[in-house]
Amino acid sequence: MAKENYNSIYSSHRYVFIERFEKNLEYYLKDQIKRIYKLKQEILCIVYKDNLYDVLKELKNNSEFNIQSLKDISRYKSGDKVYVLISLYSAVSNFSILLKVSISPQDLEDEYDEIVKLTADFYRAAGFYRDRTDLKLKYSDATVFSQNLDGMDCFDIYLSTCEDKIKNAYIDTGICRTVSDNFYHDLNIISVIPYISRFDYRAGIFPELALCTSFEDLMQMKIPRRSQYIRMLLCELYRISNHIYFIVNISKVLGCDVIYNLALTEKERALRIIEFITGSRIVPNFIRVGGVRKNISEEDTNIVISNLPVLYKNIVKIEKMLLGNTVIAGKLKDIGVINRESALEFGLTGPNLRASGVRYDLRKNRNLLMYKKFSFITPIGKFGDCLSRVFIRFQEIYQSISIIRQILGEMPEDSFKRIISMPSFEFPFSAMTSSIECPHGDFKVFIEVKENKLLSLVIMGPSKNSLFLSEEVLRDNKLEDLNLILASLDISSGEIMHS
Amino acid sequence: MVNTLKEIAYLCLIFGINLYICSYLNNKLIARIELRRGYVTPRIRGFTYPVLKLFKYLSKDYKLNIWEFFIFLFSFLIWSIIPITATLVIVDIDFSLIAAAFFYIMLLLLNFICASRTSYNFIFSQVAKKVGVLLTFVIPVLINIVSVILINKTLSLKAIVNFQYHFWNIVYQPLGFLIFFISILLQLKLMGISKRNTFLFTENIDKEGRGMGRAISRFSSYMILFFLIVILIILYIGGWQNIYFIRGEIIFALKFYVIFIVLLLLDKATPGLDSYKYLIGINWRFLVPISIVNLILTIAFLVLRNIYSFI
Repeated sequence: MAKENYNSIYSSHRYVFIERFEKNLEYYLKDQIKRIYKLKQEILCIVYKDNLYDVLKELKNNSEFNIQSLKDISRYKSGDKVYVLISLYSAVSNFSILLKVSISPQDLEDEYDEIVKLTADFYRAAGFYRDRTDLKLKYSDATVFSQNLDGMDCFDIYLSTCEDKIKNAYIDTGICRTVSDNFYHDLNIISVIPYISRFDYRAGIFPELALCTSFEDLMQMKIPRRSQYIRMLLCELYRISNHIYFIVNISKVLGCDVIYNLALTEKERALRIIEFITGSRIVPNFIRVGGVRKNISEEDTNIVISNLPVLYKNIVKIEKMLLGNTVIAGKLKDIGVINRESALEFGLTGPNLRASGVRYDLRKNRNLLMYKKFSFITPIGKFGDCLSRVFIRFQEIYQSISIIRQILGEMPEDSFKRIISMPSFEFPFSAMTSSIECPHGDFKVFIEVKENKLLSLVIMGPSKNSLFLSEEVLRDNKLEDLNLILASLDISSGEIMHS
Repeated sequence: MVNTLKEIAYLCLIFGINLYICSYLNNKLIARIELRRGYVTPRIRGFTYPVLKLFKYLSKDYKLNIWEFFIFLFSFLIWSIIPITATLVIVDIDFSLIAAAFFYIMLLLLNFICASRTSYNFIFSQVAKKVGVLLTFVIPVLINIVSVILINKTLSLKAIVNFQYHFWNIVYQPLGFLIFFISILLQLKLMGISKRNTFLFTENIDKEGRGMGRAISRFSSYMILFFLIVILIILYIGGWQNIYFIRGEIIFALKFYVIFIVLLLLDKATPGLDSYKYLIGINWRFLVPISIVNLILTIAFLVLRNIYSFI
């Protein structure tokens, strides 16, 4: 805990920490790792497939690294080659590492399965990335197909049940499979921004921000203060809107029509503010590399200022109606419990992780944007059940409102306009990654650039971890609570999309 | 603005009613324990006694010094950050526990300053001793608050109550609850609310003047007691958490009165501890060491659980 606090207070310490980590990697895994790149606050290692077992073993068991969580395994094509990207992180030491393994395009499926199996020896969560068709057909006796409710429209669940209890659950995300993820290949860098919002359509600003910050890190660009403040303002507005949407979903599942309608109205209010500023709700297309698309006027800030107290008052009312009701609180209590250990093991991030009692928020831990300037707390839960997760969301809405107030109070006046032409930039072959604390968790983007084109773009959304963990969580719960548990995990369908 | 005024009005109403009931209960119960009749209930004078007493104070003297005014102000300010129910809080801040502790210590110090305004050296030394002892009883309370913060990982009183829906904090901190309770009891003894005609902070007022100042001192003593009981309920026994279908507000009021009556009865059942040496002995030999042990146990639990994952 002390280390975590130290990191968050002294950000310069992070660079020292990364350098030390890099030295340790070189010392322990000199022969196994082909090359180490430092991507700002993270490390990318290119690993030979044969050495992957040793690398993973060292990373997991060596106390110098102590990396306990698997975030994602993705497969992507870069030029003629195919790579597997394994993303690992440690919430305790606040550090993440990417392992890049090359596989041959001829034996693509076999080699991928082999890598996943190797990873599964150390990280249990890796088991979900392999083909599980045999399992779901063998052990399931009931199927719940994708539903109308948002967040539950991207997967089918195969269940094996014992009376009204769930014994095992298998999640199949096949319904969310896209034809191709190569949409960005023929596009300029600037043209990718509106396309990327679809990966988190509930809070479209975060994928844009992640992509643009990774370019900024690559170019070592310094961002004007005012545009950072505008970015934070929009981020917090989207966070509020997303969390209200979460409450809408929960109240719909619970059957509280009054709260459902009230929450929808408030979501509408938050989205209208966003629409007024950006011109769009789902695809804001507002963030640009080095700044934002347009400056916000006094009229915009006045709209926010006039709507915030109403929003706050109504959210307090909704909270009182939802959680002050003994029956509703009783329904949410003790259901879908995620304990601290399994949350960390499955790489959970965001409010779901914080509800299990782990204080891990990139806004504070990594000094994201300029959040360090503001006073806010990261609320954390205790028991990790549905009620905790709902509590955390409400608390985060209040914190976001407080951050917005501070932003508007301290909004710097200085701004300058300089048009830069992104298509005229020519990069050498380089890779970069950046993480953003989106309302669901840690939204990570990995890019590879050459000349003025994106060679590869890997999206690592936090909803995937929540969805895979739900298999564990659903076990031993009642069949009737299935929707409630899944709604409480706040799954965004866009992040589950894969090719 | 209207909302805040409404909340202030609600708070004033709640405190008015509670002050009335508590001072009535106090006098009546204590009289019964002392085998007196107390105020006779069937007569109207019995019910209106607290109001009559207030008028009596007001009629005697109108003198009000600046420190008494500050005490009066702080007695109200202390309630601006403490949530009485899930929504009834005037200033909702994230570190309300720290602010509450600060206001409490400030209130004690103000009482000390107010009581030291005397021309009699003897009275000053007596009051200084009493307030000094009273301040030492804050130390175990603060140590226990640290343990509660470690368990709940938050500084917000609201959040502390919200996360007691599963188990009350008394389950994790039985020792802390015990120490807190004893500390309140001893502070009650020192403040002398249940004793007739003896006041901690008004010894000079008894001699040098009575009236409004005395009413305010009495008021502040009650506020300190109320504050301690409310903090005890919020920190350890679930605050305004619902029990089955009973509303949290009702449960909160019930808990408050149960603790208040138990404190009064215990106060009367134990001998009057006027010896400061004895009281200091209790504090430094019993309350402070046990609260430190409790803190060490809590830290050990957290270290084993969160860092080494043993438990």
